[in-house]
Amino acid sequence: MKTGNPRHAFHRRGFLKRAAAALGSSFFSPHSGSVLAQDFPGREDRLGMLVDLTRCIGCRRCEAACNQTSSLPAPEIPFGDKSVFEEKRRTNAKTYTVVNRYPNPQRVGMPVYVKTQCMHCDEPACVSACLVGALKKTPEGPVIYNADVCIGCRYCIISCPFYIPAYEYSNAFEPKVQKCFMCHDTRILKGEVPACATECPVEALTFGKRRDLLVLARSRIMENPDRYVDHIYGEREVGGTSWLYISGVPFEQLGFPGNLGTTPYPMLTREFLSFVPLVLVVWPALLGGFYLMTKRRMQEDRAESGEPKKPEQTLEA
Amino acid sequence: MNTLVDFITHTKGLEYLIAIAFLISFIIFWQMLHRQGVRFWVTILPIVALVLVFGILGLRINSQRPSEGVAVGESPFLTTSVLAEWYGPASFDHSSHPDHQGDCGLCHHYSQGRIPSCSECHGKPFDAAELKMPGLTHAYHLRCIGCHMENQAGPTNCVECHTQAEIPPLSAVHPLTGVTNCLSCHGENGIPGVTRVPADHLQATNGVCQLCHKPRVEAKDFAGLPHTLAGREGCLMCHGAGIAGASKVLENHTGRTNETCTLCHKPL
Repeated sequence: MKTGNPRHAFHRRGFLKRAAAALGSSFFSPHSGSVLAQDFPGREDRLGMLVDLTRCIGCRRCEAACNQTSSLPAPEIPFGDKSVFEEKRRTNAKTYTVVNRYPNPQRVGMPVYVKTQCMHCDEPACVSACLVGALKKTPEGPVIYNADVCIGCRYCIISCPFYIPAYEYSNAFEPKVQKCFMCHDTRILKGEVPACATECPVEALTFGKRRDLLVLARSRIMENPDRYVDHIYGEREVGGTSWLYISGVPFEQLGFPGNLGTTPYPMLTREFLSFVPLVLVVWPALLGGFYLMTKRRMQEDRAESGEPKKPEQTLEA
Repeated sequence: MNTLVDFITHTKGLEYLIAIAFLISFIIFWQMLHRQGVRFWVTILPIVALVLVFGILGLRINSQRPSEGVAVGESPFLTTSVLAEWYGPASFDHSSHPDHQGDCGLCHHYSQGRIPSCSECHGKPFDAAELKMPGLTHAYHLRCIGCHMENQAGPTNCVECHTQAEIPPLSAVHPLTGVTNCLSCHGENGIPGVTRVPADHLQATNGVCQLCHKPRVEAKDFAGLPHTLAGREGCLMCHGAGIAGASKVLENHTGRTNETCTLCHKPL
């Protein structure tokens, strides 16, 4: 390539300018123009699930349906047994969803049942924490997992604000990360509804496009202001989630993490991550340049003073 | 790029490439400084090659999984099939709700004048395109259970309204003592003429049959064989057509072969 070509020179200058702008903007003002501050609206048609906690009757059919459709081992306590509500349970590698019972402070004797599973965040922390891209936010909405590339670092488990992904510690040779995948491969890709929503006898679970569900949730709250608290959990929490909850009892009293904020978790590492390439390119080049400069100057000095050239090993040591 | 994580994944991919480039150029730089000759390259090149091969393999594995968008709502209908098998329909008795007579709109909401039945509006099982309209089953459940819970009166669990589907008991044909392998006869490749397990039971194993299916009547013993079996392998030669006073095999045994007779019928 001829360096004197003005077109090339122009292009390179343009590139350098853009790089400098990017560097500057990431340094000083993260929300001004440039690719680094781009806005990400999410896919328009992404799917979600609305959980109406005022409807749930605690029958645990969703748990049974999930267990069946995911081919999980049968639980120690059968799904019809209500004694499981005595203690708060969490999802684990063999249970992708659990229903817990919470006392209703407004109406004694009418407990609130809360279904817990992966929230399928719009900007999942687990996906951004994964080193190898084993977790993926699909265009349809669910966050899915590819066990073939997983290296078992369990960063996803640490990063999750809802404490959902679980690790198969009992599997010594091929442990996998397990969580609700919203029946992505088995049902959603075939145009079917996830198993839990299919089985729910009272439509406490409603499956649909996320934007439709938000409208539905808001209209339910508007039509029954006494029945619901004016909050759609998951609309803004950690930047929005695919699973949305409406309830008659404040979410803090139902075991929902209440202090998550509305910033997507990947946003916290975005600035740092955008910087790494620049550092990896600029820093070695700079130090290498210094080295070559110093070396050349020393050689010139030696040539001037007429000393014989030394072997390089001593110079480096 | 629709999401921030897409952007981050993309950036991370670029960074891995830059890191590899950095590694390689560092080796070249090192070589430039020290000029160690052929032996150095022999050691270092396989390492670089390994890193590259694993990197490319990893990328290939990860890109194998297709993630195509689907048209949502192509098949919005579904039925709650499993529950429908287990529970019979509930019948609603207007007269058992005397407190609400005259207040039809409590249940037959959004209507004036003529009272429509529930199924006129809540017809479909579930329609993703019409999220606001619960399906018939769900409408009933919401209305009944909701009201019962609200007023803390009336049944809220399944079996108080629904009759639970009856599980066929084990018929009285054979005794269960010593019988452990149900599927050898009742399974998919079982004996002809024997009741087969239903299609949705095909994954069931022998251990679970009697958890649900209980013997209803005291089972009677099988008919014993009055003669020795030495030299008489072909049962059906005589008993098939009832030759020379031999008892004929039962009507419901049609299609069974010689090999299966002595599984149940033992010499007296």
